Amino acid sequence: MFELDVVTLSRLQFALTAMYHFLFVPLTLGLALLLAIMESVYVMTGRVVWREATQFWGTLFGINFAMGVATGVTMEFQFGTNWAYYSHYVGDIFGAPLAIEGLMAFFLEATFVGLFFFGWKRLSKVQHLVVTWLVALGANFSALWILVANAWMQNPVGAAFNPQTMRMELTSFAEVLFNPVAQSKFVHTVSAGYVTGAMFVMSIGAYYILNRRHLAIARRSLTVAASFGLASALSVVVLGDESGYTAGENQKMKIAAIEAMWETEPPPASFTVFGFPDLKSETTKDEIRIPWVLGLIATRSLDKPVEGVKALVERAETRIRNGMAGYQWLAKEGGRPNAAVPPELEASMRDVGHSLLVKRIRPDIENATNAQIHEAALTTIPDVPVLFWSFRIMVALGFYFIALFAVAFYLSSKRRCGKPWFLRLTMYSLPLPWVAAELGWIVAEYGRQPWIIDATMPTFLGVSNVPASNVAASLAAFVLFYSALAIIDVALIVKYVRIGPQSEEPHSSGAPALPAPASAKNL
Amino acid sequence: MRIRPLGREIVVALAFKLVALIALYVLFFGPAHRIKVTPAEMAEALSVAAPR
Repeated sequence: MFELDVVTLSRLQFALTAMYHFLFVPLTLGLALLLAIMESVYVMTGRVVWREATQFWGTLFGINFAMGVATGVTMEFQFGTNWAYYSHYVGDIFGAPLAIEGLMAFFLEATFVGLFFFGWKRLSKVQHLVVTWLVALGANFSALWILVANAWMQNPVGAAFNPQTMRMELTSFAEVLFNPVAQSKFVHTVSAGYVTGAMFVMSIGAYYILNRRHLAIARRSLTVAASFGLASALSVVVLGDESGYTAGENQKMKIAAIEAMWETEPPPASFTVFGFPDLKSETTKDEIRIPWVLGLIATRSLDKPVEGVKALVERAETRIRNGMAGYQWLAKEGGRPNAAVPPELEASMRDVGHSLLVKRIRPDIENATNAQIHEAALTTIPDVPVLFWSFRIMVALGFYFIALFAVAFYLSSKRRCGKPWFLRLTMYSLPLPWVAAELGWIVAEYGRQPWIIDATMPTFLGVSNVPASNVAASLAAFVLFYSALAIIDVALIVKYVRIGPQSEEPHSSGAPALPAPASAKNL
Repeated sequence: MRIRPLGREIVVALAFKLVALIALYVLFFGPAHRIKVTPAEMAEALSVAAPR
């Protein structure tokens, strides 16, 4: 069971605030782009109904955006308050993209959001459209910088350890920016945001059609969201596959844990669709497997093996032993102004991070027994059942979204999207993109454990030297404060959805063109 | 050059943000408020027991 020490509490606090923040981010990403698309149609056609649609969805976007900003700021402060050693160790590298994101959000994104809301009567149509597109681009660029920072934790490139300062220092900003993990993570994450935005618009549109309210805007919104959602859902799956490949290159243990693959899978590696991972026997029971698929996902080949958990633990054990000499040198010489790694220890220094894993078991790691080294190597295995199921539910939802948006696209293109079964299914699917997005983060971040920086720094070494009671108190405060915020957010969104779009004039296209669903009252 | 009223408001808003950001930095995050972590302290942190 969990031991509520300062490490666990700090992790819980970050997980809580990050997952809560990520309830708002995907909707901001998706809705911003949908606003830009709808307003583009307004500018091109001159039809007022599209401006009203943009303004209505813009109100919901504004509520969500404000919550996203408020909950995001606290996370950046946590790096200083709860993760001081981590911040000191990698602040040179990690701080740069975070600072760029913060400044962009503060000066560009927030300014354009202000112009979006208050500029309708003060800007020309085209000027306002440019502002809306800049809001969408700004939101997406913010996500890029955060994901560049996050990807560096998964694959620390463009940096080197300096024994004189005892810090990681930036050697190539371009390598950090063009980190393959960052690229694949960015496109996968923003596509997931587009799916969330599309589902949000489609579900609320379905609710209005079922209740025969605001039909002109609801039908148009549903049509736009269906086509945008279909393209996004297809992208999420394709780009998620690319994320799987980069993880297969850089984080082999994560892939092995996601697959509950205890033994090395010979080529062509098969993919486990379903099964029950059993930690005691280190097997997966009642497996259903698809031949070749894992080889294609993780190695893009049919002739390379995919390493299993047991082989990777053995490798971790070797790396722990390799890093011992480097660690001993660092403990003696590290931090001195003239410290320079002796050439014969350079290989060992690359594995010091692994040696540090032993410190959770005994402080004098150079005296660790074989059993203790093995115990430390076993800590490199993330939580297999959690990763196994989170990944599979996320992927299943991804395919469900493709099917739902494809049906929506077909029905709306045939002008038959008034079918009650479809509208109800769409409406009740509203929470699912959030479930998939949160599970995606669990796979990415929980799957990174026990590392705060992959194969470089164990998570337990990154925490601040603060009493556990302080972290417990702030965690409790976050739970209370965020619960209150969640209630306010839901209440505001429900209120404005109930009020619905505001029409200045009756438009000819407002007449219901759809047959009234028989039992669609007050859903 | 004549700046239109909206342009002026945007410039004022941005200037206000910049001043607010500088004030926050000076009041709470400047060098005077930073906890100094020296290389020796970092080396010490690596060589003592893991935090509990």
